[in-house]
Amino acid sequence: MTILFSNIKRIFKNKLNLIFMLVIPVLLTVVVIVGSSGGAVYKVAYIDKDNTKLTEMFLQELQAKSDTIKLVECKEEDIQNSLINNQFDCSIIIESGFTQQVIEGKEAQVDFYCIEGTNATEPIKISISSFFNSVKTIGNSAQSDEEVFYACMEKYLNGSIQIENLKFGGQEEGTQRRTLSIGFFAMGLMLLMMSATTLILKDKESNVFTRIATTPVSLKSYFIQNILSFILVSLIQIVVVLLILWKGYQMDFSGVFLQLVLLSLFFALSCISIGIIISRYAKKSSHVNAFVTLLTMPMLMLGGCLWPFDYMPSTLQNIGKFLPTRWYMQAATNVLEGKSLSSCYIQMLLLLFSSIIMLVLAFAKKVNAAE
Amino acid sequence: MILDVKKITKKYNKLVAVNDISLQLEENEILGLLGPNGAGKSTFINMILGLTKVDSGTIEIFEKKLNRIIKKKIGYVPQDIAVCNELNAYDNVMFFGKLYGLRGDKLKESVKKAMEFTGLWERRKESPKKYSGGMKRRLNIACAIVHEPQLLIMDEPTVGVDPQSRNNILETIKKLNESGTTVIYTSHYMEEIEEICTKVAIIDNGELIIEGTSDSIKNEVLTEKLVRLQLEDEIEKSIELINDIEGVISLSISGDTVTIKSKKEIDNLAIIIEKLVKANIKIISINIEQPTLEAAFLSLTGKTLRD
Repeated sequence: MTILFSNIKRIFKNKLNLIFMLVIPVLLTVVVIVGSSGGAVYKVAYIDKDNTKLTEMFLQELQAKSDTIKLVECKEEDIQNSLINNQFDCSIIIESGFTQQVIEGKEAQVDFYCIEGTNATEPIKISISSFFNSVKTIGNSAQSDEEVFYACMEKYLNGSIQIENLKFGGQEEGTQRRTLSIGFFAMGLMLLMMSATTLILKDKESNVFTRIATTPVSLKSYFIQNILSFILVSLIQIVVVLLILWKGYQMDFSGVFLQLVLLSLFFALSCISIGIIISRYAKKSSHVNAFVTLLTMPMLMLGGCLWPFDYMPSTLQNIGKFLPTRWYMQAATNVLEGKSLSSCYIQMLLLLFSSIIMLVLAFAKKVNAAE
Repeated sequence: MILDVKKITKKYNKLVAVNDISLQLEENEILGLLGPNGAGKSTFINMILGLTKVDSGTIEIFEKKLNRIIKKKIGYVPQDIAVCNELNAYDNVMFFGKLYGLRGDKLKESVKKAMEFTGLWERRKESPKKYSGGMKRRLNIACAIVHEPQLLIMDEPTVGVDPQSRNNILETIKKLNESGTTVIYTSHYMEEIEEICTKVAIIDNGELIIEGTSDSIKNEVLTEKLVRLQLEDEIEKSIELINDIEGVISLSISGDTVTIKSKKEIDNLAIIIEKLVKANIKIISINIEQPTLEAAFLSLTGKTLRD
């Protein structure tokens, strides 16, 4: 196992490999997290012309969601410009007499303003609407009795009905972000494996390969140890990066972690076999580097690692269906959506068989140790 | 017998790289393998090391065909520096020591010994990239001797190094030989071969032209000797006097120097000097040119080693 452990040492001593291993998948994921709107706080402007106990209750309810909503009182003349200039995401105007109309069971509504065409503030709108629908129901039941109305409101607000305060975006957006982070992870895995496998070519270029052939170690053992070292390095990368994303950046992989590790290993094997076939047929490391660059990015793009696969035209989607990156992303998405690993067996078999075919082709070339 | 090569041949399509070569090597010898580029030296060495398949003939090392156990007794210093640049010098020697089956304390001791032997121990933690050309060559050797091989095959180990490093490497080879290592050494430098080799084999066009000690080859090949006389005057008169002396083949003049080519077996220098002295011709200097391996090689192949 001398070559195996020496290879691991050689791979991790190369700073570029560490960038491929950690920086690319983690950094790009962090950029996505920061750039996504899921964790953003909405700025909401309000004008309370009614100024009653009810409107005070309503504003307190909104303030209570301070992790997602920031309330700012505003003047009516400033509202339009503030919205246009993105100083606020939306605004609410409660007209005078609103509370009285509600208590009397009459039709009353709060004015809600936002920039047309954007649905980013839809959750706020729904939240406000939900509150006032309840208020109206209580108003109708109170039959114009203000005392009864507020007593009911108190009970409603402190009632036994507990509403879970979920972040806007919910679970589906979380899955999307996790899928995208897996795409970036696939990029790091692919780049590291392509880079690592060039060790075989480097050994040939530096005559270390010829020298090893003169030692008691057989060439068969040399190649097997190389492949095992690449698999071991990929396993280290998979576990470390997924743990960093999970524990460090709240990518929730609980329940799917082991499935993801296994799937990623299948994909890593595919990357290794591509790297080895390139290294076996290329004459120089510089050729490999150029070829890897030409191959990696289109594979990642067409496989849906860098953006949702469905965003691409159907022609490109059809090409993508033949790529290991697509098979991996499909399987990973299934697992992240809560489906079992057995639902991904076709993708796993495709990854495995394509790897075997590529390795067979790679070693079909005659080995000339004296070359 | 350390090496017994019998009638080996290797062809690449129509090109005969090695043609029917037989060669024996006894324990503790240093065999110098000479030949111009493309002569077949590397193919010959590759066949011994098992890197190239033999078309016909047999090779026995330590009286057996090459196998894993025999490989443990062989060290190989390739012509190019064959080390892992990602590892430091110490790790490189460790790596090759492990490949030869060394483990534990024995491995550590052997690595230290090899690095001290090549003068690299003090700078063992440095990357080979930071080494000078001579140091890289020595590291190349350290990786080949870490397992204390009984047969060391060195393919032009001094190419591109400065004279000081070359001397250092040659001293290393002598010391290794003194400690019992048999060496096969290829080089373009005749003086190196003459200095360290106990046996010389000259290969050209895939064939073994001659083998023996340096002196035996020179004696066998070179049939003439050269004497250069620097005279004060009367050059023409001296030509007349020397021309008739027994054994003289030809004479040539260059300025005040007369070059006399004579038959090797006839000792006529005393007669030449006596005749010139009697004729009152003053001799400023006498230069007897020693026969060299270079001259023997030229005589055998019709070309210089660097052709």
